[in-house]
Amino acid sequence: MEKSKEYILRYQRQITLNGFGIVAQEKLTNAKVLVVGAGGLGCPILQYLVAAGVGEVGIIDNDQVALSNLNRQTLFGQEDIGKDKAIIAAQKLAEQNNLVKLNVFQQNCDQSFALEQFPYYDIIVDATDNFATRYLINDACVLLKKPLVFGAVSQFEGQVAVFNVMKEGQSLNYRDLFPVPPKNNEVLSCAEGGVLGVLPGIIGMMQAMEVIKLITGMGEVLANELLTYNALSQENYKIQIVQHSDSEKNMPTTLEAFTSLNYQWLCS
Amino acid sequence: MTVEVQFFGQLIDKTGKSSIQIEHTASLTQLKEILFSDFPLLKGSKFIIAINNKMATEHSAIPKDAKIALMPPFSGG
Repeated sequence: MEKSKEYILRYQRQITLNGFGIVAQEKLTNAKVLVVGAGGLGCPILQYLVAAGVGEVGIIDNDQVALSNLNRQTLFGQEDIGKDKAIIAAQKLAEQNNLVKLNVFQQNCDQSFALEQFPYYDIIVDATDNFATRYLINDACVLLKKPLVFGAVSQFEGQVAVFNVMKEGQSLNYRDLFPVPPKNNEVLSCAEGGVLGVLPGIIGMMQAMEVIKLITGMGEVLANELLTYNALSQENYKIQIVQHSDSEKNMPTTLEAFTSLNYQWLCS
Repeated sequence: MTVEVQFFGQLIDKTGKSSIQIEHTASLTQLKEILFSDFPLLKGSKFIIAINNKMATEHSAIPKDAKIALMPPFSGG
């Protein structure tokens, strides 16, 4: 289809890239990506995916903006405190790029949401801040065979990985790293351990990059690999993930088993 | 002969160090015994072990020049 002058101009800098061109841009335009969480990771992911011209972007978050969010959640301002994150994020993103269709879900990502909405999207992005939702998203993506771009932070470090993407005959997921969720008090959250806003910014942008690579087929995605970034040393540490012997036996294998799992309880 | 063990995330708080050199052991079980006795707070912590940038399984052998990493799950976002 003939693209408008506005379309070509808007994306000119990336269309110009060697190996990108109008072909990769149209792949972005035809893609649908769901970002779970509009927080420290979600904000930069959303901003860059919308700026790059991903055709349809889903935003799900049940929180309201708080003053302590503003050091890292760059879609929100002081005037937004107390307002719904997903709705405000969508308003800001619509101003950024009106060619992108935004689907807004001001609610929790629970099992019924995952089963209803995940199948519609090409890629799911985990930008959440708790293990209950992370395991729920992971298991749903395994069951529904959806590529999942994972990101998480802890103080000055962040992790990025791409799950459920076939590489060298294998498709791995988060349960190959950690078959069983940690308990609530085992791992520090950002609220307890603190976080410098730049770090989720960097990790979120790495996730956005993986999404764009998955859609366009450019470069090597982080499939079956875990990248750990250290902001204090500016060092990356990449490891190859292998299938964990306990991964499958801890995973719900049917939609019924998935629906009846109590993820909040598993992680408390 | 020693091997390098690097700690990530909260494990740095638990050991007080970002990396150490320890005596080479042939098996992961032996390695963990040494680590748990030197750093009791590691016991009960969740982490994966990578040997030379590859996730180790229970029966992975440790080469003499191994670079070992202990990596915990991160939850923040």
